Amino acid sequence: MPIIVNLDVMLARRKMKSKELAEKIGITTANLSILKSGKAKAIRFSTLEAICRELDCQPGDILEFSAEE
Amino acid sequence: MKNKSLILQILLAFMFFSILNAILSDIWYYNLDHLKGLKVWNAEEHEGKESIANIRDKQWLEFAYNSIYWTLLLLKFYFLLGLYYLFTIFRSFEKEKYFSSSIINSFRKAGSVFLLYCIAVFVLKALFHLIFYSKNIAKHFYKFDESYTLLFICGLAFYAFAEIFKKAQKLQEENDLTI
Repeated sequence: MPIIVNLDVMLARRKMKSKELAEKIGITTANLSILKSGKAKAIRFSTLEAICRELDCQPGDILEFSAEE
Repeated sequence: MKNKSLILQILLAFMFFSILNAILSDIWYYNLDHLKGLKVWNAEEHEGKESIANIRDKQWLEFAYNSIYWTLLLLKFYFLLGLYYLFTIFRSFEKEKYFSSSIINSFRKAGSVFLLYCIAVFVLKALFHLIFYSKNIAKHFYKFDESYTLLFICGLAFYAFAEIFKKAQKLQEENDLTI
């Protein structure tokens, strides 16, 4: 998939654990893991908004487009 | 849906065993009385009236009768396989597994069983008609409306269901992977 999810990078920058973020944004760790691994087919705006709010970042910091893959 | 599936499973099981019972009694009470009652068997009495290509050889007629009779019985067992696939579909519904690959496969298999059964029985009955009753097979074709149409449509419908469930499975998967 040409969309790369850089959530783990942002989590490392904010020194936050996946479990903590999952609890804060109200999704399961399993779903967050799917999102991090790039297996997710889509992301809801509400989830994206919650992630951006908690990590204090922009959607572009989490998602990246790469035509090569 | 869970309760309905159980009721449908019971109905299907009842149908399955009644068909099995009919097949077994067909095997148990098999005899050539029906053949011997046909005009073509007593060709000498009805000279020149019936039968394909004026076949008068009784050994051949017996062979043809037996072949068609036993093939029809085997096809009934094949039909039971279709019912079994339907049974597995309802069992999956009971387990609330609506969009699994096994349901799609079962729908496709049930569809192909019903279509093949319908076509094979029609062809065999046409052959039977051709050999034992009349040279004019065209008379047999109007009978397609009577007993096969519904089963034929069921077979096609199951194929359609398989495609619909395939699409539904894809949508379900996408929905599950939407975070």
